[in-house]
Amino acid sequence: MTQQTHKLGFATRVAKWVVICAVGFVYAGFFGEAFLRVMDPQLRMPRFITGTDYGIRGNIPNAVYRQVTPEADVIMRINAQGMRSNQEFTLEKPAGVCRIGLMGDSYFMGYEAEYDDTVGALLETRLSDLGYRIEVLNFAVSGFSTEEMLREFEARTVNYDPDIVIAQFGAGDFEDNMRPGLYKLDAAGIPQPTNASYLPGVSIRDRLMQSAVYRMLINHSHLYSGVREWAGLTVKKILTKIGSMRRQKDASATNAPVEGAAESLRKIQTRYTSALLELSHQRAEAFGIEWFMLEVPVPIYKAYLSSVDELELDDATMDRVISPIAKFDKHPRSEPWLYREKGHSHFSPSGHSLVTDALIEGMFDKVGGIFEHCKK
Amino acid sequence: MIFFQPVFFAFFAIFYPLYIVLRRRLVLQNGLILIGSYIFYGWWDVRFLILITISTAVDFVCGLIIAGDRSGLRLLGAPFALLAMVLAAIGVFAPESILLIGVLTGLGALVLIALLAASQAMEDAGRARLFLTVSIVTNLGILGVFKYFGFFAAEFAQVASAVGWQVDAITLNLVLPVGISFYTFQTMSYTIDIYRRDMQPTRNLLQFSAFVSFFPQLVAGPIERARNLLPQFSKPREITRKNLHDGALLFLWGFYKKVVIADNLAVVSDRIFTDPATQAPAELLAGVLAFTFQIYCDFSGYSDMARGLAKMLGFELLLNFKMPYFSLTPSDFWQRWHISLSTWLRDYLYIPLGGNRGKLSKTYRNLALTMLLGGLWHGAAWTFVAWGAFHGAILIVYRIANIDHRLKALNSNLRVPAMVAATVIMFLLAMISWVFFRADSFGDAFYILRHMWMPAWSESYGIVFFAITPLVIAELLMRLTGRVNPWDRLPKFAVFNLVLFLLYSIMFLVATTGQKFIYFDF
Repeated sequence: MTQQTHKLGFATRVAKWVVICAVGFVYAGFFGEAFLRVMDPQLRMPRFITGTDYGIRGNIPNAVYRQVTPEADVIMRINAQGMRSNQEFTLEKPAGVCRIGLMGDSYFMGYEAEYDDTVGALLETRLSDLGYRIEVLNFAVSGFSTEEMLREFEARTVNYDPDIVIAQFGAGDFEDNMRPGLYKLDAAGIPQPTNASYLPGVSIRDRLMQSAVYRMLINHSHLYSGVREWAGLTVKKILTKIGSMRRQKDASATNAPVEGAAESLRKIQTRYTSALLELSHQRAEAFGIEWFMLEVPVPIYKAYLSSVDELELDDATMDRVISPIAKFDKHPRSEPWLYREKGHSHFSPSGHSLVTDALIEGMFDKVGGIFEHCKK
Repeated sequence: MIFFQPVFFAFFAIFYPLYIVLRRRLVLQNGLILIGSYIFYGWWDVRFLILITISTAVDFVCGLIIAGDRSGLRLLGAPFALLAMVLAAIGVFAPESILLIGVLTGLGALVLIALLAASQAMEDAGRARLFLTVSIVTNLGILGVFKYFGFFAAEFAQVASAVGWQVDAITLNLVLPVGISFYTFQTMSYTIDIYRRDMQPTRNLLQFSAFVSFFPQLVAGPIERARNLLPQFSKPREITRKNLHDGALLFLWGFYKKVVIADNLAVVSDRIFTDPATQAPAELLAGVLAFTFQIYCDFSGYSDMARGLAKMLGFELLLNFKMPYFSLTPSDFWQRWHISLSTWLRDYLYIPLGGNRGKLSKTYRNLALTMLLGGLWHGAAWTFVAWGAFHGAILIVYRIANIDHRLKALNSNLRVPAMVAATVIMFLLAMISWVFFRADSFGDAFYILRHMWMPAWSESYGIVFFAITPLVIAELLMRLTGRVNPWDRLPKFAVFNLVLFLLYSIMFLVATTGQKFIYFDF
């Protein structure tokens, strides 16, 4: 009898603590939500990302979600093919149409901007105004590195028979390319594809996405946005560190062109990113596709820094680099800035507009008559 | 390693469970503290360990001899064994330095042996004086070489060239070991107290070396007195639920003050002190205000974290800050700011100089000397000396005007407004003093002081007020209700909310660029 009472007492105590912890946990959540709304309202920029059958991340087809920052309140619509677009595309290219494939990350995807203000939409309308029939297929996925763009190109982009692809490059790619491990340099210093997948957090996210509560949280909760941002950055740092160590080890095991662990990590990052970009160019040429690279300048106190100078590209690839810096520099400082200042520093509508101008001018300048076969 | 770095949390996650497991085995627990403390300190640079070990060994031996122990050379066994172990560790982790460090340590050991042998025939008082001198010369010698040699060599060369004598300043390229001013002062107090018969020496080297190197307060204080902390190593520590609760809260509060308040304010203060001439007057004032709270939260934050960690280990450390910006007068300020240093300077410098006994002029001289040396203790730069001189000057002026006494004697109608006015004036004086403390040169300091008084709004005030408001509210409540900690006498639910506030602040409001603790350089 006494033993039974004792057991019951213990069970009651455990149950009491479970209830206290559960209530405390829920209360802490509400407290955090209120704390952030008052003290530090968070940017709500959910990512609707899933896995693809070629082992990298992709946008969730037909997803519709909202991004809210102090400067933008934007609806993101993803088409059935996982591209940010208001239309669907057939695999087969319509006759007389030129297709441009955009390969990049959140900058090309147009985070913090309405669809009509993005590079993709502006390229289409401005080239159409110039008398060309153009389709822009936006293959960009937030968070993509050059490695992922390259796999996306091989696995998907080429199937849509683009005439032109524009690869986006930014300063963050040096580090970003250390993480996925989708390519590995051979003895000649040329990146060779591996069988690796790179799907960080995707399976957890896929499972969570089944829940209506989770979907509500990602769209509305400041606490969720804050924790996700914090956790995302932490995981990114860890994965970059691990990837960098792997690359340094690889570098010390091969002779050229990345030569040994004595070289600085930055040197390894630079050479590897350069090799990936050159490969991207060569692969596009092999499919008869015109390849260009858009540089995303680094904004510092309303000045714009180039990261291209750091790259070690061959002349042919360097010749295809398009930079909007000259146009950015001419942009009056009194006008709205070209990047979102209070958000995640993506292009503002003015930024997208100048980038589009730079791309159109650059493409015409570098390849004469590039769009002649798709004139209306 | 620094308290807010992941490596420290990893270290503590291993250390603490072992510490709990060994709670009934005092010797092993002290051994764990010693090893943990040496790992903690050696993490910066393993070579730093030799200095702390020399200080430990010399003061341990000197303490016994000063107290009249005539064991002679036999005393040296244990400390020499400790030195040998540290030298072995340096040989493994920094083999390139072992020859020089080994030779210098060996020479020092020979000198100590020679002194011991030579002093065998001396009478007790003479031996005590000799070995007190050995202790003080060793500690001040370490401090002088590593902290002040470069400064004085450069100043000497400059003065020499001014009188037409060209001398190249000798440079030793020495790294300043973190926290050197703290532990040398702490160990010196041990031998001085023994010499004064204020305490008995310990014969237990393990307890003494754990006391000297105790990691929670090793690198930035509080500067503990041996008679307060050393006895805590000789009896089992009790780790109660209350200790854990209070210790964790203190640590969290200090962590918040450092990474949320101080580091966010550093963004404002660093900008204006880096290049004051390019800043608007309103920015200058905001920057000085920011630094006034940054230095407080940086240093008192560390002290809170140290006291919190020590409490979790079952130790009690001295209270180092007592809401200093609510001080009424300079003497009140020094009873609230860096209390462990100000009481050290009082007991081992001001009072031996004569204190306030004798003529008034001597008292003023003693105050000025104490504050000048207090300034120099912070770093080898004339701006620190000027900071000390400024505090010395206001202490003297307040004493001449007898303001402390007059404030106490006020009738009840005038008391509150007078105290508010006195607090505001003292706060402004403290602010002015911090300009000398933080400025890179006298030119910068005087430029800031000339131009900062323009009343105008700047966006930087937004950052400053956002950062300091919770602290000001908490300290105001503490001041009005006589609490030592913000959570004292609060109901459990309110404490839970405070913890949530601190945790969320640390998670989301932390400055993007973490700064090291300012007082590590002192």
